[in-house]
Amino acid sequence: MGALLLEATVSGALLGLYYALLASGFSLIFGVTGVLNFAHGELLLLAAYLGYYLWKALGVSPLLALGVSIPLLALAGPPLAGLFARVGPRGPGFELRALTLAFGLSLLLQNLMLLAFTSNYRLITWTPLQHGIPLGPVVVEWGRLLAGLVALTSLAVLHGLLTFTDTGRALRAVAQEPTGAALLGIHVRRVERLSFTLGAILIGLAGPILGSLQYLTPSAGISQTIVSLTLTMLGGAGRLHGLLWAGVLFGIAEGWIVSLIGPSWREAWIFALLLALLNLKRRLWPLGVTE
Amino acid sequence: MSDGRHPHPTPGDVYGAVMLLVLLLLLPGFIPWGYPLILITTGLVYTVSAQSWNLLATCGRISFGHAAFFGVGAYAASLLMLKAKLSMWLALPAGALVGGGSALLVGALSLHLSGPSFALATFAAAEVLRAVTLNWRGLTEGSWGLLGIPGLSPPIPYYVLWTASGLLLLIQGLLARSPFGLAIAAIRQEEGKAEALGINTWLVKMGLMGLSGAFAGLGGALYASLVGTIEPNSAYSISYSILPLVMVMFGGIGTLSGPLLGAVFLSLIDIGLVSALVPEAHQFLYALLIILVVLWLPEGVAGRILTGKHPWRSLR
Repeated sequence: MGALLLEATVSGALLGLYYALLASGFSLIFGVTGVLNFAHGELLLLAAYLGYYLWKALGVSPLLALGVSIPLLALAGPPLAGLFARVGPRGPGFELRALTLAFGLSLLLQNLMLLAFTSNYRLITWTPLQHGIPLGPVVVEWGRLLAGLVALTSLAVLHGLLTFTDTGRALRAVAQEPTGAALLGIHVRRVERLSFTLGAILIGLAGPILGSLQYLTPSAGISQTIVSLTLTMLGGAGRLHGLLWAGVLFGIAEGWIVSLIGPSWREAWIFALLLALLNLKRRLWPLGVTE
Repeated sequence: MSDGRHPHPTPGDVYGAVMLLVLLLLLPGFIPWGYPLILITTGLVYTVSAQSWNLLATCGRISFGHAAFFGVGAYAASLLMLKAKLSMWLALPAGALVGGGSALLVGALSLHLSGPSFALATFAAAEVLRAVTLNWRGLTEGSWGLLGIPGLSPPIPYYVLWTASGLLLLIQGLLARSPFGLAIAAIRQEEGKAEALGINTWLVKMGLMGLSGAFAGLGGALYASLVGTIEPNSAYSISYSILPLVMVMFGGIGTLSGPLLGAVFLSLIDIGLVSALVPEAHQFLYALLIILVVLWLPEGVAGRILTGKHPWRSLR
């Protein structure tokens, strides 16, 4: 039992690092623009399917697939920003209109994927990823370790970008106070568009790895969205270290629940956690990129 | 900020709603009995769900999780008929009662929220209830589902649903004209100020939520008896959260005639064109409609005809 829990802890923590990457795009877009992108999970799945078919057809590893999925998803950023700008301006009711629009988008993408890829379950089984690596007393799959490492590296780069560049400062400024940022001469529309592009790039980064970690099916996107939403609420919108902590804790808790109670309760506990968080936090606050 | 709408329904709205209700009463006369009648009965199930969803929306709460009450109602009525051998005429109201009870439970956890938080909380609640139904095998048979649920002979479910639809219309219309209706409008427009004026906002919201859940539960119970078999993924299908949302948004949120118009029009299109020609495109159509309506017709068809104003813009 102890060994099992230890393995669930290590493996869950690694998965949790990856969850932080998976949620970062959602969190960034929400933090900067106030849009709760309910179609986040479906966009992730699109990137994951891209990775799957590149692997299936050409034998491309999920890591190399990133070279295709990142630019393609980045292209989706500006049109998405334009779509959500149409339900603006920000003010009473904006968040609800944006959420409803995203809900429709999520269903639309889900049904498009159902037509294109059918509801069959698919998994990238690139053999090098499935080797076990002894890590102290436990053995972890190389794929999970790699996912964790990629996530840590990407989030470190993102952190650097947000902290040390002018673009990053502009993003944080708009997240904290759009009106103030506009008064300082920041082009808020452009920054919002940028946040969508950056968010889409992060989705393109996380997607193909998702395809190697869990089975893909068009309806699997919702739970990714809910994970992202839950982590954003736990960690604070756009606060990367908060997101990392939330991801790791979430990953470990999930690992324990799956190994102690069974995988059939996985979805239920995620939704129950979201409901609990909504009740504890009362309102979702765009907390700003750093606080 | 006020949306400037008087809580009294406009004469045009009442007239439109009554005309649609009369049309629905006469409809079976023009429909051949058998399968087409079952299809329009299903359409009427959606109509009742849409109206119940709209009742809650009058206080500014947009639910993403009405499938919860639909599913709970379907399971409660079916289990009572199958396991407790209760008669249909007792099981249907019991399904409504349990649906209303579950709505009060969900309401207790979500009605202090508004806007996107409320929508997400109801969405999560529906998924939790689905998971509980799926995993509580001792009671619900889990993913095996329930088979052989007794049903009423064909035209009766239609008229039961029609009565429910008329009742909902009456409730919404009377509420709008009562002091209660002013309280609802106040909550929709300025909840904080409404509370400061001494309105028991909690009681009003819970009342609406309970009523809304009860009618959604009744819809679910009738649906279960109509199709004869249910399982968690069909009874709590996200469709039963989406359909009322789309139908009411398309028709016009908060109006009397909007939900009827949206439900009748979209059901007819669905039955006549989509299901007949391209059955896979069923949900596709609704997803596209949500996007189009939010972008270009936020006040809905009836809303635009009646007022030309944007009630949706005041929701938060």
